Amino acid sequence: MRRKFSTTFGPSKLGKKDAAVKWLFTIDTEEDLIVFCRLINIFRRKGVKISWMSTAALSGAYRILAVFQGHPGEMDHIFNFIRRTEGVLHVAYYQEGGADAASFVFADGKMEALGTARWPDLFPQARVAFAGQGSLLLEIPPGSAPEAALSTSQAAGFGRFSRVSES
Amino acid sequence: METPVTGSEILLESLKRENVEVVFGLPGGAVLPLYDALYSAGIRHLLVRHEQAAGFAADGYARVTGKPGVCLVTSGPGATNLITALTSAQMDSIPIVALTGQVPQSLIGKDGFQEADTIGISLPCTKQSFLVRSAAEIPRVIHRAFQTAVSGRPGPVLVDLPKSALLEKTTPHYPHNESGAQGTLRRREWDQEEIECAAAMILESRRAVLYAGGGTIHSEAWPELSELAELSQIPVTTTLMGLGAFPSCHPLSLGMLGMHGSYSTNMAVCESDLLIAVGARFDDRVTGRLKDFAAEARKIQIDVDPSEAGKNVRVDLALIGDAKEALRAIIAALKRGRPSAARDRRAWLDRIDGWRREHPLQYDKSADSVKPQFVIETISRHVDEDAIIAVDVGQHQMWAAQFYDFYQPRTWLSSSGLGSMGYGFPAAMGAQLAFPDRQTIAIVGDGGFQMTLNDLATAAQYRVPVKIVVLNNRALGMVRQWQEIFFEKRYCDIDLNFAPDFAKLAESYGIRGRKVEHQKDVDGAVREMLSDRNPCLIDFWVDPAENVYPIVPPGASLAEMIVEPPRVQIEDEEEVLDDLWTV
Repeated sequence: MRRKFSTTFGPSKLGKKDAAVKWLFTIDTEEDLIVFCRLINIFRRKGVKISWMSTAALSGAYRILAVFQGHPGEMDHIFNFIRRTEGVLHVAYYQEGGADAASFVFADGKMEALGTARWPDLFPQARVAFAGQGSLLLEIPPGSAPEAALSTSQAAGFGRFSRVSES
Repeated sequence: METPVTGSEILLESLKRENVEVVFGLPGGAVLPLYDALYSAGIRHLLVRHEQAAGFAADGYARVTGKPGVCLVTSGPGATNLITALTSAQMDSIPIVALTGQVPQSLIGKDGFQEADTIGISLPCTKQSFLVRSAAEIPRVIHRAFQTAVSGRPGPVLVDLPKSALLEKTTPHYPHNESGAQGTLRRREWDQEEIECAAAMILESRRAVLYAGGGTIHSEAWPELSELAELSQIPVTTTLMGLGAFPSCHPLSLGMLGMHGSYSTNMAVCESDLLIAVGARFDDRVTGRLKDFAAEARKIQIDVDPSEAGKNVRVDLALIGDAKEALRAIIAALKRGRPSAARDRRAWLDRIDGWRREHPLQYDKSADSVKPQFVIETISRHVDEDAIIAVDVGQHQMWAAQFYDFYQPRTWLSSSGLGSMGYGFPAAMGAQLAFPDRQTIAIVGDGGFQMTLNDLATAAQYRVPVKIVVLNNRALGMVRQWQEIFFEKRYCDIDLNFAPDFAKLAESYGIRGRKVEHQKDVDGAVREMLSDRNPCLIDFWVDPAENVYPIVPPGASLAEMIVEPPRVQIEDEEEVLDDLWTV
């Protein structure tokens, strides 16, 4: 991950007064529950209140998807803390809304308004970034999503995210 | 085909391949197979009297050598007793490999005798924890444990070893890197544009300060730190962890900053226009009130751990990577950009000198009672430049940080982040094992020493020639100081008058002990101690009313430090001292 010197690092001067927004983290770990437990403990210690979490066991790895509210000034630290944790293979994080070219759609499996089976029809060029326990994170190539599909997904209450950074 | 061997034998062979020379430990049921193999393995083992001492000794060994210290304890209470030492090592980024016994695999999770969830307990206080499931896993796990302990930001790694894996026989396959995994795996995320930016910020600044922490020592960046300081004429302050990274006698040395930093150092930081943090984490004991910390300064942070970038203080430029490489790159950029990067900092250095003259570190040198600062200065005057100093936590630790002259890195051992009392003496033993011929002095308080003095037996048994200096004020001194200054002298449970005679106690272990009660006897006692080739102890009965100054009150900014004690005329000193003990 590259940073530019023009960027400042650290707690925002506004601190906790910044509006909290929704964040989505996907984390791949070694196939070791100790690493998994360590991550959950990090979330606890850093005061992250997870509103949605999904896990998946892949071949040789575990994958965690977590959604939570947080202040923008804190996310860089949490991301860096996770990416430097031993046993973490890959971590990416996304901000709800964010950049105009939001290119990820997250479907919470608990929502029944739109069956996940319809996603390939709505976004035929999408790649599944995460799937587990009915939740789905789709990566949509920029400009490939029909406006109607985006409207449909938003109307159904699904989140649109843009990737902030990945390891 | 090779003959199968036990997991214990494989483990010891793995340790040898990682160049392990000494293990600090205490046996018990779950690790008996390992101790059986150790009987003839050719690895030195130091039997401590409490597992915490094994952890602290491994920590001391690691700090002076830069190599992982190794400790070995049994399951259950053996492992839980180790936790404080691991937490301390985690806070200070010290590479330790802790080997803990565990009940046989079939009993894990069934509340077997001396079973504890060691992995679960250790999660927040280790960099990584491994549970070995079979003998065949041991070579890979041990190799990875050593690699993890020293790579990037160093830290403690725990390997939990079920008895079943130690007894199991298999044909081992060792990783190819047989020369050992020790040696920092350097990391770099910056690009040249960022280095040029750092150089430009240095050249633009007029009141720059280098702020060096423990990461400077971990990455062995002290030569580059000195080169940058001299090239740019930037004064250097160090954290408690960074002491030794820059010589105290250097004209650009500011000493330690923070809660007990000197007036001139803290003022320099407050008034700086550029602060360059090297392997330092803006700890709350350093910054005081965050919003006022170097408020006018642009900040550059160099750290190998990306999660430290801007964690506590907003910085203008973060260079994530190895400090040694980052400093080298900045120096090269400065030399390329301008042959003389020194610019006009004379006025800045003169201003700092003015602050130094205004409020030097001082104490009453004419007193008959033993002043703890005088003891530290005396030790500093008589020891070799490569002497190793280990301290506990409290007033004596701060006096040592203030009044001892540091010449070299890796000579200062302090549980700095966790602040664990009882650390100094076992850490000194660990360091002494690494360098048997160097003077090694544990400077401890009477409070902390009582937490690990049972290991006098270890020093006596192995004739570890560590010197123990007890600055005995018959109290939990730092707590007393806070109660005096911030809690209106409501002294509550700080009285340690009920304590053994430490000199006689040492004698009872077969260690020469001496008690010193007058300032005039300090010099002779220190010289006699240093000439002794055996372990010895001096119990200095120091002035119990002495406090550490300056002190930044909790929640205050560095500029609001209390520089010296309030000037009150004490008419009857005895009465005041009685008052201390009768509340």
